[in-house]
Amino acid sequence: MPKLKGLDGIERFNLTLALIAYIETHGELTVDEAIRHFGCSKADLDAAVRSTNEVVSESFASDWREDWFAHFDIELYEDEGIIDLDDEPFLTQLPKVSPRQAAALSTGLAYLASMPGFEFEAEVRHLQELLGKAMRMRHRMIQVQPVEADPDVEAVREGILNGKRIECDYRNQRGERKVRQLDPLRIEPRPDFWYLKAYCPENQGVRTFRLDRMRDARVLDQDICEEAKSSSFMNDAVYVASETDTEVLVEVDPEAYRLIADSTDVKELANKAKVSGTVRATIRVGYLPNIGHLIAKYGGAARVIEPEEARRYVRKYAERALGLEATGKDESE
Amino acid sequence: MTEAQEKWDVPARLFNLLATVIMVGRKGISKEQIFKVVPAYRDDLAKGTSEESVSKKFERDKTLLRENGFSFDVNVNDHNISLYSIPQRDFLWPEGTKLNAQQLQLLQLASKVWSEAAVSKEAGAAVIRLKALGMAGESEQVFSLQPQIEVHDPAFLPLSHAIAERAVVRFQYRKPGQSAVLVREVHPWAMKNIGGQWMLTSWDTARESVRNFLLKRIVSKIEIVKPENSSEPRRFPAPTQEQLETAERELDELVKGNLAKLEILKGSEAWFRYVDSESGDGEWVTHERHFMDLYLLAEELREFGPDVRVIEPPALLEAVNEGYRKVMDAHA
Repeated sequence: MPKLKGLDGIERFNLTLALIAYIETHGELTVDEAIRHFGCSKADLDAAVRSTNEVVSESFASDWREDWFAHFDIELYEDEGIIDLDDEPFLTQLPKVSPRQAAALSTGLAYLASMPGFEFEAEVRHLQELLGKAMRMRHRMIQVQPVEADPDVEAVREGILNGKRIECDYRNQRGERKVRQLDPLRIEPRPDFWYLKAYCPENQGVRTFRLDRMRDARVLDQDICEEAKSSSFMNDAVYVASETDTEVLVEVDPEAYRLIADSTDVKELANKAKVSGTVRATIRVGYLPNIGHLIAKYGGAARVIEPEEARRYVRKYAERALGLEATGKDESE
Repeated sequence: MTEAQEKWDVPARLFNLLATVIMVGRKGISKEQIFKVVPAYRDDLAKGTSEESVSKKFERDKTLLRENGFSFDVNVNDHNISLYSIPQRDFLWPEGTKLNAQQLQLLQLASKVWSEAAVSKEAGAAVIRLKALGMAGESEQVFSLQPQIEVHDPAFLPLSHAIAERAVVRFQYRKPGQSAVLVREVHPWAMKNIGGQWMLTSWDTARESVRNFLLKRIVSKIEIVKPENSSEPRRFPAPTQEQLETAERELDELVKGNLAKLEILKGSEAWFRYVDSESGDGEWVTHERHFMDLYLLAEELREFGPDVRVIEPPALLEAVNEGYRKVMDAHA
């Protein structure tokens, strides 16, 4: 599928190398084939083909070099929409990828292969062997140990694959527990939690659910609704901001960067940090009483600056946990 | 933006530099010659840009090419001039290597699992190149999962570079439960994500032993250690397979030896998270779990407040409560 955004300079450089190597192996290809296969736009392709040819003509002007350059046939490209080389290329083999690129891909593949129900082991083995040769290292530089799959994942997967509605016992972020019916769309495993994007008939929209808050998921003999089927757009973010959210200013030490990672560029903030990486950022909280466990988790490495109401929730949460508050419930909830 | 900058953008410059160095073969080419024949550098010099600036651009381009898989071998000739070449090993894929549509789709997915934009982009650029090993027009299959590997630690990228380059690094590390920060100098061997936490396995040069560090506890920038009067990093020898296996085994043994006994309130969020069965009549369910790091587990348990009681070990209970006390103090 073509990318929506254009390729950047490095991607275009790789596209040029790939086009040359592809043509060397398979022969010419059409513009449409190239766009589909390499996932680029026509503009990317134009830039990759034309800029290279500009380099060629300039380089030929030098009396130092021999007659050797890769050269796309511009007339054939412009008149007939066919990409071919009209000269002997300087690259006859595809250059290998870097050890770091190979490591990133290899880790990603290993992570994919660790997913329950993954069916492409042979393909991954072949790719890992190939990438292993590019890594020039005997060991895995980066590994991801997958989180144990939730017992409900099988039923959810079955629902997705067969287009069926599921029913489950769900405990939401407010601590309310009830049996819910959902039209499951996509499972998003992450190293800490597994998430489900599903259409919720009750709320009439796509929502994110955590599989660890789900129990007794079962597939119903009922197809997912038309609205779910047409939910082609899904926000990739786990947390989607809402107008009713409360903005909370927090101060965090590096141990608690995770708290602000979804709402800010941690690397940029950390770069500007002066004292031991401590930074301030604003996070959005959908249900303010939840700020207690969000902050207390970090044991002092995250602190609410404002609003005061949020600070009070955090203090009371910690007091309750230590058994210092007799009522057991925050009266302001 | 100047005319020359518009004309010689990054891909054109890299392509031209690459072609130049490849075509001279093993004998190599000097920087002076490169500046004469690569139009981007030649044009810059012709319009009066200082040689120092052009040299910096050349160094940046070399780094970009290295990051995209091209080693730059440097040999010094009889006149003490450095000659650059790109070795044939950078092109040696196994003969007849081909990838089918399914394998290409898997590579694409593998590049997208990274939440860290820089890693995802780097891997994505590699996938574009690897598509040359496939055949246009083959159909793709749909894969229902979209896993994500999250990276929130600023230390991740510099450490992954240092591991690949086998460069010695230095950083400040805060041990859990302590406010003091210690400087550590290590040979970074590998990184592993365990339960969402990134951990570095390394050789600690001062303690002369294998040490694991959680990236979230690194509180400074990662410093690449360079010998005096050198711009090149100090390199370390690659760890042996035996060293890595021993490090992994010791970590496994540590986890097996750490057991927490908890009581969890039925119907609570913790119960949903940890307890699979409905067994037990009482209000509280006993749950046991092994753990790698006492303070990490304490952090996890504080998410559940009074719905989780720590029975054993006492040090875990103390770590959980100490954290709550700090939270109270910070929000008094």
